[in-house]
Amino acid sequence: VSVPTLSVCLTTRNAADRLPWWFERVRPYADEIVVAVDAGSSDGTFDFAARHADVTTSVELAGIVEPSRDWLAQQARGDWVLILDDDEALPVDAGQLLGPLLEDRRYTSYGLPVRWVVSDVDGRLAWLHCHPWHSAHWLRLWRNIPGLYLVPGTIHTTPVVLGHSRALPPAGPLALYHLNLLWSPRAAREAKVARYESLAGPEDPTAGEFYLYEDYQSTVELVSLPADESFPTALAPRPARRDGLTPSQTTTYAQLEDHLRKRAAARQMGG
Amino acid sequence: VASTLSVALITANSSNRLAWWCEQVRRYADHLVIAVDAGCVDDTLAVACRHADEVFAVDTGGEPTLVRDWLHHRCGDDWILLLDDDEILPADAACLLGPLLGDRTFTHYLLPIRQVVDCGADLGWVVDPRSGQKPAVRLWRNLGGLYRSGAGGVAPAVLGRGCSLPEDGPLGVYSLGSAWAGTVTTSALPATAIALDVPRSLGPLLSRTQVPEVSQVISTDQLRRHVITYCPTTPPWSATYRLVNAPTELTTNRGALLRVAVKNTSAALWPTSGCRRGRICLGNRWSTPEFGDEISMGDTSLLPNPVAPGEEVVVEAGLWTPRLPGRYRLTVELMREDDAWFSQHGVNPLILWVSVKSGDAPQATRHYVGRLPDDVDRDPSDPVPSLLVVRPSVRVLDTRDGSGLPDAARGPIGQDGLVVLRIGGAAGVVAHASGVTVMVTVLDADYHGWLAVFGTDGTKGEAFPVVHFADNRHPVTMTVTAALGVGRGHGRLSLHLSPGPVGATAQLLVDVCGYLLPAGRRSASSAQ
Repeated sequence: VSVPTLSVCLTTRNAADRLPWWFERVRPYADEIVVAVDAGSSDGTFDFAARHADVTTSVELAGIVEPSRDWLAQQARGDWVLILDDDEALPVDAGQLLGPLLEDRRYTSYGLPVRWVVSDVDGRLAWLHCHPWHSAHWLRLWRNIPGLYLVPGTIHTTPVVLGHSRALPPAGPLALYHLNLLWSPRAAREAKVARYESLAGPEDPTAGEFYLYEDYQSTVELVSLPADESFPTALAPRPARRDGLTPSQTTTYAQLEDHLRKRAAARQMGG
Repeated sequence: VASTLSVALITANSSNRLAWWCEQVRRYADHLVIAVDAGCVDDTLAVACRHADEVFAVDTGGEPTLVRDWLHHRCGDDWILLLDDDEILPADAACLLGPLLGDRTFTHYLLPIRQVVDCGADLGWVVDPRSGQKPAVRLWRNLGGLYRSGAGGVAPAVLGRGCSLPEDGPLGVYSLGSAWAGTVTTSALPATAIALDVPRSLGPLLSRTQVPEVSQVISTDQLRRHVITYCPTTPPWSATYRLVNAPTELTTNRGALLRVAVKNTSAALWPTSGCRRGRICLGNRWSTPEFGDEISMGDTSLLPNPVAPGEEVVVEAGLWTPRLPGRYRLTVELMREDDAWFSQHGVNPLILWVSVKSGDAPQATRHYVGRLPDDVDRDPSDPVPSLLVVRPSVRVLDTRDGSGLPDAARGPIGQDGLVVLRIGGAAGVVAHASGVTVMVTVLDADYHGWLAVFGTDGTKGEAFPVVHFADNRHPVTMTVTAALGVGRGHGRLSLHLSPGPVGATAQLLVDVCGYLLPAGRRSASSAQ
C-alpha cells in the first residue's frame, strides 16, 4: 500500500540563524521541502536552503509572505502540502502523528491548534493556554490538488480549501508550535506589530495582543511542554554573508500577483 | 502514489449481462461496489455477489436515485467511476485512466457518452452530436465533502476544477443499450466503427437460484435519511447547547475560554469546510441592557469535524472580553458563516450574564479594531449641521415576531422596558450617521403611557416623551428624527416605555426612513 507524501513549504527571509535547526526538525517527516527565499535576504539564506531543500526558489516580496503561498504550494509535488514558517515547528513525533491524517479520505484539510511558546519565570518552556493564543486553529495542511484550494495574498489570510475540514483537538498531540515569542525580543515584536498595522486595513485585526503577550501575562495560564519536546531558547548569531549559491532567477512580485489573478479567475469552485 | 479506483453500479434485473460487465470493469477497477435493487426478480444479486467486492441489497421504494449518494459513500478508493450496467469503457481504459487519476490538477472529469449502435459487421458509436449525450461527470475524487451525487438523473455535483475530456478522444463511456435493443446505423444516424468486445445480443435473465448472504437490506428510510443529511438545502437550524465550563472571573480586554457542548438536532450534516462561506461554527457576542451590542461579532470557534444529525461535540470557544467593565449579556451560539445566526431561525442561544471587572492590561493592544464602543466622535452637546438622506423604509424592530435587526427584541415589552437598536452601520444607514428618521409604532398597549426615543447614552431617557399611547391597544404611529448615540452608545437608538402598572406591556415597531449625514461627510462607506 502506498503512503501519501507530504511537501513542506516555507517562505523565508534572513533566516540563516534558524534554518539549520528548522531543516533538522522538518526533514524526518517531510518527503519534500520547498523553499521560497525573499530576494531581499542578505545573510546566506538562499545558499543554505539551496543546499538542503528539494526545491529552492527566489521570490520578490513586499513585507509579507502571503502573496507567495499559493504559488509556492503549486511548486510542491507531494500529495499534501504543509505550510510552515521559519519560526514554527510540529512536535518531535510529527511523522507518526501525520500518517493517519494524510490517509484519511474524509478530510481535504486540517486546522492545526497553535501553541505559542514562551519561557516561564523559571526559564522552562511552556505554551500560552489562553485565548486568543490557545484554541485558535490555523489551516496549514491540505491536499495538494490545485483545483481544490486557493491561498489569497492578503496579510494573515486563511486558505480556501473545498471539502470537509477537521480542526484537530486543541489538547491533542499534534499542534503547531509557534516560537516567535521565544526567539524575538519585545522591541522586535513591537516593530512587527507596527509593520502589520501599516499593512492591515482599517477594520482588520492587527494581532498586536498575540505578539505583545506580556501585557496580559498576569492572567495567562502556562502549560509545560511535553517531556520529549524541546526548542532552542535562543538562536545562534546570524552568520555573516558569504559567497555561495545564488538564485539564477527571481520570481517577481508582479509575477506572483499575476499568478494569483489567474488562479482566482480560473477557479471554478462551487463553494 | 498510485491512485485507486472504485467503480460504483446500481442495477436491477441484469443477470444476463452482469457477469460480463464485471469482467470488463475488472480490467481497471480496484474495487467493484454494486447496489442491487431488492425488488429484482432474477438472479442479479447472486451474480453480483460472485463478481463484485461489495454488494448491497437496497430497497429503493421505487426511487432508484435515492441510492446513488449513499452508494458512493460506501466506496473506499481515491476515485469513483460511475457506470450503468449497459455502459463500459474502451478495452484500453486502464492505460487511459492512469494519467487522469495521477494528475493532481483536477477534482473531477466529464466523460463523453457515446451511443453504440449496430453497424452490421461491427459496432459503431454515433458521431452526430445531436443524437448523442453531452459529456457528464462520471469520474471524481472520493474526498469528504467534495461531491454530492444527484437525484433524478442529474450528474454528481463536484466542487473544484473539473476537466471535460474531448468528445472525439480515446476515452469515453460506451452506452450499449441501443445496440442491444437492435438499433442500426443509417444515413441519418452515422456511426464510427469501433472494436468493442461486446456481446451483440443478450440472453434471457437467469432465474433466481438462491438468496445470497448479504449483510442486510438497506431500507428506503435509511436511504432517505442519507439524502436529507447530505443535501445542502436541508435546514441545519436546530441545535441544543450545554455549558461544560466557564471562567469564574472575567476581566476587561483579554481572552477567556469557554467549553460548550453542541448537539445537532437537525436532519442535516453540519459542514466544516476549509472555505469560510457556509460552514457552521460557534460564535459569540456581548451586549448590555443600556447600550445594546458592545461586540456584535466576537471570535468564532471551529467545530472539530462535520457533525452528523444527533451527534454532540464539545467546542473550546475563545472569547475576548469588552474593554469596559460591567455586567454583560454574553450570547454564545452557532452560525452559518456569511449567512445567519441560528437564533435568527428560531434556535434559542446559550445566554450567560457575566460580570467583567476592570483589568490591568494596557489598552494599546486591541483585539478588535475599527469602531469600538468607547470611540468618541464628537461632543454630544455640540450641534452638528447635517444633511437628510432619505432611504427606502427598512424595518429594524418588530417585537411581535422578533424580526428586524439581529437580536431584535421579541415579545411584548414590559412597562419601564428599554430597547437599544444598533442602527448606525445597518439597515442602509451609514456607520457615521449622526441621526436617523424613524417611524415608531406602539400597539397592543394595555396601559396609558409614552415612549421616549433618543440617542443611546446609558440612561432610560425619561425626560424625552415622544409617542403617547392609550390602553386601548390601538396602534399609534409617529415619525421621529433623533440623534444617534455617541461614545459608548455610538450609532445606537434607545426606546424606553414609560413606567406603568406591574405586568403592563406594549408591542413596538420601528422602520428606518432616512438618516442624517454630518455636513461635509460623504456616504461612500455605506452600511451593509
